[in-house]
Formats: sequence, C-alpha cells, structure tokens
Amino acid sequence: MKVKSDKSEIKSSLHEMPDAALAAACCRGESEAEHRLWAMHKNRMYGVCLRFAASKQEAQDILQEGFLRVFGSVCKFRGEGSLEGWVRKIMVRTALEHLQKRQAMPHLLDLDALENLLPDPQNLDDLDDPISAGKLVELLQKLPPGFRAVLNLYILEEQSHEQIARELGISIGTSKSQLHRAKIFFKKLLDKTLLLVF
Amino acid sequence: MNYDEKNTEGLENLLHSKLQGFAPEAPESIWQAGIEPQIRARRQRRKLIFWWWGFTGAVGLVAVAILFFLGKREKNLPEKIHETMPVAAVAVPSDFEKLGEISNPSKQKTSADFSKSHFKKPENSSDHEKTHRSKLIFKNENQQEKSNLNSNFEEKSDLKFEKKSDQRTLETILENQNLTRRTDVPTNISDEKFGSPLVEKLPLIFLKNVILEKKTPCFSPIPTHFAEKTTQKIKQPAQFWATAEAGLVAPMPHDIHQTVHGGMTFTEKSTVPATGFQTGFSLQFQPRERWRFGIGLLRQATRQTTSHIATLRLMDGVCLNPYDPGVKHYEFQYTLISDGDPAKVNLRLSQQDPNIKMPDDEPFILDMKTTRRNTDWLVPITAQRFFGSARRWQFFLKSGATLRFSQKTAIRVDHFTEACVDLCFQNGLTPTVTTQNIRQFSMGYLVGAGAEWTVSPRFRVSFHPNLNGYFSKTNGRSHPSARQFGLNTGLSFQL
Repeated sequence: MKVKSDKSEIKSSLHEMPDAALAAACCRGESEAEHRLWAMHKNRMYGVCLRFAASKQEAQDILQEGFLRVFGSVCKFRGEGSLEGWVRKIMVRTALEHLQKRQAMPHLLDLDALENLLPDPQNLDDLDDPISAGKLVELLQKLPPGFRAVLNLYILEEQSHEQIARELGISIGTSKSQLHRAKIFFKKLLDKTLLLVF
Repeated sequence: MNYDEKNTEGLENLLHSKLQGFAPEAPESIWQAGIEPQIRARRQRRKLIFWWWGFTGAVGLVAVAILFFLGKREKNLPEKIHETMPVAAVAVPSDFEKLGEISNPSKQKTSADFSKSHFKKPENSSDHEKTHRSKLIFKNENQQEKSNLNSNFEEKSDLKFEKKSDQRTLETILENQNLTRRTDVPTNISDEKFGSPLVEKLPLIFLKNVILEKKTPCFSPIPTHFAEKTTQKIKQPAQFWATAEAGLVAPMPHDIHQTVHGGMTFTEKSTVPATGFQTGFSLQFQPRERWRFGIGLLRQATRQTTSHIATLRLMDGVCLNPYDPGVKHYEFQYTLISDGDPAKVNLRLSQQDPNIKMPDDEPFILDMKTTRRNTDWLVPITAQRFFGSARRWQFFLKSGATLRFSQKTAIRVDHFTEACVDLCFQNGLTPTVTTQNIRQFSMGYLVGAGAEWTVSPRFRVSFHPNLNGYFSKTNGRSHPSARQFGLNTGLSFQL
C-alpha cells in the first residue's frame, strides 16, 4: 500500500513539477518524467508537425525525431523560457530540416493545376464546419513545401521575414514573395474547397 | 492571376483562430514503439561507451604499471645477482685477470668483492688521466675499519675515469659526503691472494657503483658464464608489436531475426554467398613469452548479392510531382533486413502512362535482385596464447571481443521484375534505390587459431583463420545479428 501511495505521490509531484524541474528529471533519465513531458506536449507538437508535413505519416516521423532531439538535449534547458516554447522550437527546426531534405520546393506553380489538389467533397464529412482546423491542415498539407514552410513560420509561428530568411537560408525578398504567393495559392485552394462544399 | 491582396485579407486571422490551439491526439504508439526504445538504446549506448573507455583506461593503466614494474625490475637485476653470487666464486684471480677481455659490459653484473685496502693510486696514469682527478673521502661506521682503511688508502687518491660524466657524478657525491661502505664485503681477501693489486684491474666505474650502491648496470668482475647463468632465469622483457593486417571475410548465413523498425519492412535473401575484404592494424603487448594482448582497428567491406520481394501500394509512397500532368514519380521508403542488419531504402518508381491511374490502395509486387555493399569498422580486443613451435613457426590460439560500427550500406538494383496488374510502370526502367545509413553498434566475440613465422627477430608473419559473431540490441533485446568467417594475414614488427 505504501509503495502504491509513493508512486501516486511521485506522479502527482510530476504533474505539479515546474518546467525546469521536469527537464532536470528528464536529464537524470527518469522514465516517469520523460513520459510526462511527452504526454504534456505531444498533442500540440503533433499539431505543429501536421502543419509542416505533407502527410500524417511524415508528421509522425517529425514528431518522433523531434522528441528524440528534445530528450537528447533536455539537459541544456535552463528554464529561461517555457518548456513548451523550447520544445516547439526544436520541433519546428526538425520539421524544416525534414522539408529541406525533400528538396522539393517549386517556386513557380501553375495555379490551374490546383484542380488536382482539391480534396474529394465526399471526404468532407464535417459539413457543418467545412473550414475546421483539420480541414485547414489538410489544405496546408497540399501546399508545396516551400509555401507551407513560409506560411507556417510567418502566420502561425509569428516569425519575422528576417528570422524566416535565416531559418530557410533564403533572402528576405524571397521570403516576402514566397509568402505573398503562398497566401494567394492557399486562398484559391480554400475558395475552391468551399465552392465544392456549398 | 486574378487574386490580389484583398483576397488574402482575413486569411491570416482565419489561420490564427483555427490553428493556434490545434492539438489533435498524437498516437501513443509513437512513444511506445519509437521514442522510448530509442531513448533506452541511447542511454545503454552511453553506458557502454562509458564502460568501454573505463575498461580501456584501466587496461592502459595496468599496462603502464606492468611496464614500470618490469623496467624497475630490470634495473634491480644487478643488485640481485650480487646478492646471490657466492663471494668466493667471484674472487678468483684468474677470472679477474680476464677483466680486460670482457667485451660486452651490458651483460655483466655487479659484484662487490673488494677490499678498501686495494684502492691505490694508479701507477701508470697518463697526462690526460692526471687531469681527471678527484678526492675520495670515505665515511666509515666502524672506527677500526676506518683506521685500517686510512692506512691502506690515501684520502686523496688519483683515479682515472673512462667518462667525464662518471667523474662528475663521483665528485658530486663525494662532496656531499654521503658515501657508505658495504658491510657484507669480506675483509680477509688480501693482495697476496689475488697475486696482484685488485684495484688496478678494476674499472673505476665499477668501483663507483659498488661503493655507492648505485643500481645501474656497470662493468663487473663476474665471469661471463656466471652472469649468463643467472640472467637465463630472467623472464623475457615485455615487447610491443605493431601489426598490419589484411584478409578475406565471408559472412555466414544464419537465421534472420526479424526486427521491428516501424513502417514497411522486407527481408532480403542472399543469392550469392557474401564475400569481403578487411584491412587494418593492431598494437600488441607481450608481457610474457607466451601471451600477447592486442587492440586493433579494421575496416571491413563486404559485398552480397541479394533479392527481396516488396509488396507496395501507391498510397505507401509519396508522389514527388503531384502537379505535373505528365509522368508521375513516386518514392517509397522501407526497411530491408539482411542477416539481421537493417538498411533503410528509398525506392523511386515512375509511371508509364499518365492516362492510366492505378488505384492508390491496389497492391503490386516488385521482385528485385540487388547488390548490397556494407562498410564496417571493427575494434578487436584480443588475447593470444602461443603453445608450441617448430623451427621458425609458432602456433597460437586467439580469442577476444570485437566492437563493430556499421558505417555505410549501399544497395544497387541489378534487376527487377514487376507484377503490377496494370503494368503502369515503365518497362525496363530500373528503380533507383538510395539508402539511409543506419549507424548500428554491435558487440561480438572472436575465436581463432593460427601460426606465426619468424622472418627475423623483429619481423613476423602470421596466418590465422577466425570466427566472429555479433550481437545487436533492438527494442531492448539482444539477438545475434551476424557471423563471419575470416582468414587474416598479418605482418608484425617489434617496436
């Protein structure tokens, strides 16, 4: 009984653990703390990965690789910011590296070819909310990797063009033009999707 | 393009509002099958590296200690011989008369049979020798002995030195007045018994060593055969060998352990027995005549002709050019396991007819014949025991542990047949396969036997067949991953 109560105490203490303490416990190699960190951040990070990836499978790969990096460098976390922000940063960087590995970032796209990208209306089961988060992510995944990266970094990660240029190794001008084109592309994709639904 | 800035207005807000807190349920299987085992494996790898370095450090320390001990022992040898040699045997006039004939002073050992009454000024000292003079003042515990000594031995003696350094050493010591006299020296040996003054025949470097109990090899009046008899009992000093090795290796087929790596996994079958070549070097330490311990580094390259059948669907791959109205290119990623060694493969296929669209979920089979090249690094840690010899041949048994680091795997498709129902892929277009290296670490054993041929005292050539077996750890479980038969040739050089 005492052992059980001890375990529950440890678990409850893990729940209440501040970021730095949780990171320190992970650094010491405590399995409970590692699982706790995973459980705390897995869903949000999976959302981030889905936005950057081209498919669920790829998102899961990025999530796995990203968390391995997190646990590999958790000892470096000094508690200066939030743990979530730190984990998110690693996850975004992992996702970008994954995108860059694919080396498939077409800059010039024929927007008429968008027909191929439109989702099947039969798959849009959530007709009450055709532009739900899930559907938006699906549309984002249809974007070419370069557009997807810039759109995600600028709008959702709230990075400046300077930061984006540094992250992706492009010029600030390219970042701006990519964002502009990505927005148009995405809007058109969105409009066509909505037209199909209604 | 009719879309302008206005059309994108609100898009940012929409994405913000909808996706900012987007957190779908992440599958727990990622943690259970992917992250947790890898964290454990990484931790164990770190532990292993820690212990490995600890072990090698300890071995190094022991080796240094052994060397230090052996070195010290060698320096002590003259003193020990002196203690064991009978005095009477040393004091044979005929032997002393042969002192001048001793050709190899390094083999001679120190004895201490002399009387202080024998110290005399050399009679025939040349002008050059006269310039190298020193003062000898002996301390003596026994006043009686001191008086006897003083009567026979002048306080200021002219001594000749072969080397200036000897003179300087002696002068320094004499200045410090730290001389002691051996108490076990018999005093009943007289000049008459020797027939001629002993001192005149003793090289002064010997005197210095004996008087000062210096533990350095020096000239000695011990007859050569006495010294040799004693030195025969001394063990062979430690030796270091550097060996360049090269040889053939043949990985042996064994039951494939199906490892789970997530995603698609197919098993390769070997169609032609694998062969390879290994080269490297090793350093060996031989503390005793029959034992030799070594550590080495070998680079091993093996080639294997294999075949595998991959059952795929279009939905398993990624279309690389979805916007291209022409021929579509697909990439599939899967794991190939051959003799327990995994390799991640990226396979690219091209569609034949853009008008024929194959259903995404329709399976098709690719039967591929491939050539697989592996490059590994090996660190063998071995113990070698010599057990017999015939003429210039020495025979040995060898065993030890081997660490293996898989460095690179390259797979080339030699031939493939596709059984796709719609024949939607280009005929004759060989799929391109690229591999992602899985850096794997495995530990194993090594057993072997061989023979060594002595070319010259410093050069030896060895031939030794050996058997290597490796164990890898996957998902926390250890399993045999590969076995190899090797035939090595080594050229050893004594350092």
